[in-house]
Amino acid sequence: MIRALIIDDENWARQSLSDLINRELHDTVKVLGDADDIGTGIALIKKHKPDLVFLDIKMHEGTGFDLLQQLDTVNFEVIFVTAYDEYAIKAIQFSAFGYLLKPVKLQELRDVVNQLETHMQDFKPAVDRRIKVLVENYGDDRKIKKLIINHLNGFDVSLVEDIIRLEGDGNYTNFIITNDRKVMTSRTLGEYEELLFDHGFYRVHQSTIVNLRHVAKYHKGTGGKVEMSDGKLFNVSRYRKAGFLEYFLGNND
Amino acid sequence: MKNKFVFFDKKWLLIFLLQICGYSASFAQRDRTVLDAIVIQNNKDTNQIKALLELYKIDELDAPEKAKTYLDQAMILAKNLDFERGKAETLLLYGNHYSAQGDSKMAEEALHKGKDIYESLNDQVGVANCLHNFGNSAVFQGNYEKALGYYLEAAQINQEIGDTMGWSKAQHNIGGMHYQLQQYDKALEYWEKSLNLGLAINDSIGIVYSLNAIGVVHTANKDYEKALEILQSTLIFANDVSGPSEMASILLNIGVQFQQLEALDSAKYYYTEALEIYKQIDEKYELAIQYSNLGILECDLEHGELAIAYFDSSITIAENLGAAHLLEYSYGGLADANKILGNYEIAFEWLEKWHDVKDSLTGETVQLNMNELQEKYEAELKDKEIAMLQKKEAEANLTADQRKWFMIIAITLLLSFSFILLLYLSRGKAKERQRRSELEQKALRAQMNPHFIFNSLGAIQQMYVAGEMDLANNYMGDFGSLMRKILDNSGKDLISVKEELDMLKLYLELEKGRNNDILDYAIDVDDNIDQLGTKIPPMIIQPFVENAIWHGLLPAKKKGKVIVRLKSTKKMNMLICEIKDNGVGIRQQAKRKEHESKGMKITEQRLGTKIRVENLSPGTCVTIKILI
Repeated sequence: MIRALIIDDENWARQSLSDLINRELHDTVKVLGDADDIGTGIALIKKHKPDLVFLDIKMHEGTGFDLLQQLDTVNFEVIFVTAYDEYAIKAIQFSAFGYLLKPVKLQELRDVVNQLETHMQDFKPAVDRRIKVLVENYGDDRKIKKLIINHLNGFDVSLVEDIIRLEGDGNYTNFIITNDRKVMTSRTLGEYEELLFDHGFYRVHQSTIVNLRHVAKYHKGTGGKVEMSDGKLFNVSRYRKAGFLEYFLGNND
Repeated sequence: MKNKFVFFDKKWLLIFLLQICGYSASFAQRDRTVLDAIVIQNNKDTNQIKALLELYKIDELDAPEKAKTYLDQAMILAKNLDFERGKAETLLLYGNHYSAQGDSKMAEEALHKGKDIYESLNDQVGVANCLHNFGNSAVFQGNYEKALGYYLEAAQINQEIGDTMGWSKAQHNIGGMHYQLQQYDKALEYWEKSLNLGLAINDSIGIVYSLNAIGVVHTANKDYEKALEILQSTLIFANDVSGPSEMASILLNIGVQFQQLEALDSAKYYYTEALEIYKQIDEKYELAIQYSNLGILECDLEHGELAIAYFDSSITIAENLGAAHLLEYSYGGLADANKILGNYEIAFEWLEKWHDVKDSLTGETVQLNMNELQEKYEAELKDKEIAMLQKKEAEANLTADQRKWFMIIAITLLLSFSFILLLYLSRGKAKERQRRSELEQKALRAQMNPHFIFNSLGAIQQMYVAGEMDLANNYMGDFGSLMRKILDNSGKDLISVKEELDMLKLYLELEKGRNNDILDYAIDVDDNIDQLGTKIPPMIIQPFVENAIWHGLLPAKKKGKVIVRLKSTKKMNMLICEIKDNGVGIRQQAKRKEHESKGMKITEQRLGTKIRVENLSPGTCVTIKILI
C-alpha cells in the first residue's frame, strides 16, 4: 500500500483527487491527508513520513519545487500536479518524475501510479538526487540541462549536451554519451523522440536519434549521412532528409 | 558547434558613393585620339607623361592590365627626365591600380614612395591625395578604421590649404567609415558637415552625394520613411546635375526603403530602373549588387525560381570581379531561394558555401577600438599643426602657377569611379513581423491565464462528481459565456467599456464561485462615463484583477475584497481605472514581481501610458490610464 499526501491550494483539486483515489485506487494508494499551502504541507510530511506526495506546482505563495527545497532530505516519491505549465512539465519529464494535468483523468492517474509502483524500489533512495536535477532543470535561466535515464539498475544522469546519439534496439534504447559512456534503457526510441525533439535532437533514421550539437557534417546522398563528433557516420532515411535539413537549418538560426 | 551553420541573415545592399579625390589629372581634355597622338609623337617630354597617365585613367576600369602598361611607360619616362612630380603622380596612380586589383601591399608601397616625393616637393595637395588613396586602399581591404585615420589626416590638410572641395570630400568619406563601423550618429554628423561645405561652395554634385548618404544613414537607423523622403527629394535635385551612376544609386536606395516598408511593387519598380541604368553604363559591381537585391526581393515574394536567376547573374559578375563580399549575399540568397522551393539539400550546399565565404571575410578584418583611434589622432593633431605651419611658410615659396595647377587636379577628379560599401542591416521585414506577432501572442496570454481555464474545468469536474448539478450547470454556463466573449473580443482593437466590464464581472463570478468563502468584489463606475460609447482595448483590466486575487487576496487566506473603480478625467480624454485589494500587498509578494512586471510591460506597450502600483496597508492599488 502506498501512503500518500495531497498538497494543493485549490479546494476542489484536493477534493477531486482524493475522491478519485478513494473510489478507484483504494487497493494501492491510501490518502493520509491533504494540505493547502507550503507550511502545512511540510508539517504534514514530517508527521506522516509518506511514500508519495501529489504536489501542485503553482500555489499562491510559491511552487511545489520551493516546498521540496525547504526540506532537508526528500525520502518520498513525488507526482506533480499542474493545471498548466509547459516548461515545468518538460523539466519534470527530463528528471524522470511523474505528473498529472488538471482536470485529472482517471486513466492517467492509474498509469502514473502503476509506473511509480514498478520503479519505486529502485528510485526511492535516490529521490534527492533526482530532485537536484529537477531544480537545475527548472532554474532561472529556463534551460533544460540534464536528463535522467532509467535503467535496470537504477538511473544515470547525463548533461543533455553530452549525449551524442540514441540508438533503438527493439524495446530498448542505447544512449551514446561523450567519454565513451553508454547507457541502456527500457524505454523506446519513440518515447525519447517526443521528449527530445524541442531540445536539439532529431530522429534521422528508424533506429537513430542524433544530437544536432554533435553533428559535424552532412554528406549528401539519396538520404545522405550525418557525421557525428566522434567520427561515426549514420544514414539519414530518405523520408526524413527534408525534415532533418529543415530542422537542422532552423535550429541553428 | 552550434554556430557552425548559422542561417543566412537577409540583408539588403545599399549604395553610398565614396568621393574619391586621390587621382591626379593634368589634362581636362580626355579625348583619346588627342592623347594617343601625343604618345605616338614620342617627344619624351612631360606632356607625354601626362597623356600616358590620362590614358591610364581611361582604361583603368575596363582594361586594367593594359592601363598599367601606360603607367610603366610613364614611370620610365619620368625617371629618364628626372621629373619628380611626374614620378609622384605615376606612383599615386600605381597605388590606385594595385588597390583596385586587391594588392594592398604593392598599393601602399607605391603610395608611400609617392607621398615621400610630394613631401620633398612640399606639395600638400599631393600629400592629401596620397592620404586619400591610402584611405581608399584600406577601404578595398575592408579595414575601415585604418581608412578613417587616413581620411582624417587628409581632411586636416585639405582644410589648412583652403581646399574646400577636397575637405568636403574627406568629410564625406569620414562619414562613410563611421557608417561602416556602425557609428551612425557620427556618420550623420560628418555627412551633414560635408553637405554644409557642399552648399557653401555650391558644389551640386557633392550635395547629391551627401544627401544620398544621409538617406542611407536613416535607413541604418531604421527610419525608412524619413530616408525615403530625403532620397526622393535628392532624386529630383540630382536629375539636373548628376550622372547616371549617381542617379542609379539613388534609385536603388529608394527601392530599399520601399522594400523595408513592404511596398514590394514600388521597390521592384525602382530596382528595375536602377538595374537598367547600371546595364547601360556597364558598372559591373553595382550591377551585381542590383541583381542580388532583386533576388532578395523575389525571395520576399516567394518567387524562388526568379530569385535564383537573379542571384546567378550576380554571382557571374561577382566572380569575375573577385568580389567575395558580394558572393556572400548571393550564396546566402540562393540558400534562401532553394529553401522556398523545398530543395533543402541544395539549400544546404549553398549555405555551406555562404559560410565559407563569410568566414574568410570576417577573418580578414581586424576590428580596432574606434574611439581610441580618434583620440590618438587628435593628440597627434597639435604636433602636426605646428609642423604644418612651418611647411606652409615653405610652401609660400611655391609659385602661384603650381598651386593653381594642383587645384585643377583636385577639381577635375570628381567622378572617377564609385566604390561600393556594404550595409549590415538586420533582417528587416521577417523579424519585424515576428516581433509583432509575438507581442500579440503575449498580449493574448496576458489576457487569459491558462491556469484559470484549467482550474475552472477542474472545478466543474469536481462539482459533477460531488453531485452539485445546479452549481455545475451555472458554472459551466458562465465559463462558456466568458470564453465566447474573449474569443469574440480578442481580435478587435477596441471594445466598449460595457463589454469590458461584462467580461470582468463574469470572470469575477467564476473566481468567486471557486473561492466562495474568501472572495468578494465590487465594480464602481462614474456616472459621467458613457459605457456604450467609450471604446478601449479589450481585456486591459482583467489581468490586474486576476493578480489582485491570486497574489493579493488568496495568499492572505482570509476574507478579502477587490474593488474596481472607473473614473474619467475632466477633459474626458482619459479613463482612470483603479484596482484595489486588501490582500497581502506587493512586498509580501516580492518573488512574483518579475513575472508580474513582464505582464505590466506588455500592457504599458499596448496602452502607451505608465501603470502605477502603490502599496496600501493592507493591500495594493494599481492605477491604469487608458486614453479614449
